[in-house]
Amino acid sequence: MAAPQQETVNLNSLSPHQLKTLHDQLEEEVEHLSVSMQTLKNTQQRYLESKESLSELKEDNVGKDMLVPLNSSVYVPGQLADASTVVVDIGAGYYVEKSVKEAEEFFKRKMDFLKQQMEKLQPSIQQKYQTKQIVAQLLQSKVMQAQAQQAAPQKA
Amino acid sequence: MAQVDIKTKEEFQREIEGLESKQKQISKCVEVHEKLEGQLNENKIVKEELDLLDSDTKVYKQTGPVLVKQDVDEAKVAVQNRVSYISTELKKQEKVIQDLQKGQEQHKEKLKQIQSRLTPPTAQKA
Repeated sequence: MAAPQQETVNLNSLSPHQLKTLHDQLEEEVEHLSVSMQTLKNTQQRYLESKESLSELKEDNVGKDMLVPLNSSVYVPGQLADASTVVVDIGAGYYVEKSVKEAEEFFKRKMDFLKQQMEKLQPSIQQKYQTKQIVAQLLQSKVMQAQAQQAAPQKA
Repeated sequence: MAQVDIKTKEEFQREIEGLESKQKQISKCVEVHEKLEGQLNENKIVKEELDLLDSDTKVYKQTGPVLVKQDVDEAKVAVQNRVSYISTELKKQEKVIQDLQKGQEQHKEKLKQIQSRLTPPTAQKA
């Protein structure tokens, strides 16, 4: 599966200039995919934090004083009124009231989904990275060949 | 001979400009396409989540800073409609991109032809 010759263009037939262009393009693609991968990891981390924060919603915390955020810099004092249900953001502007258990299951589903997506993405990144390495090596050997020919010109 | 060169130069210039403008348009359309795909996926996921709920579950729709209570079945229909709408928009966008790419190929062909017209005369001079 590794052979680049399986692509429609035989890498060996490309000029050094074309190889450099291909190399740069692959590097950009690897970079782009790596950023996507990082975004997936960050989102997964946020879901994990949400899930863990649910554990504070214990029945014995009902009635306890707490600070309620009005925005990221303003809080008001309040009390925990209900530890049995939460309202969860499911995306696209929709929020659903769930029991704590259902919310935990929701977050777990999301995290598993993200894990799947990351597992799908990883092989693509690796393959592109390896192709990029091969192109870089080929480019280097061609450049060295060209330099050697210049140093010792032979009339064929 | 000089006259032919000027005309060919102008034609060449026109084709290059056409090619560049098509490329810019394609970039914009691809951006729109990617955004639509993102929205489609998000809405599909929301639909799946809604389908898991009982009809008496409380669902809220966010309008600005306000959460407005909505019926589960209404929400399901609304999201399904969004999914259908976005899918149609996505297909339209794909067609636009395809047409632009065809136009791009045509420009490239013309440029090749012009170039092959230009090079033989120089070869004859040598």
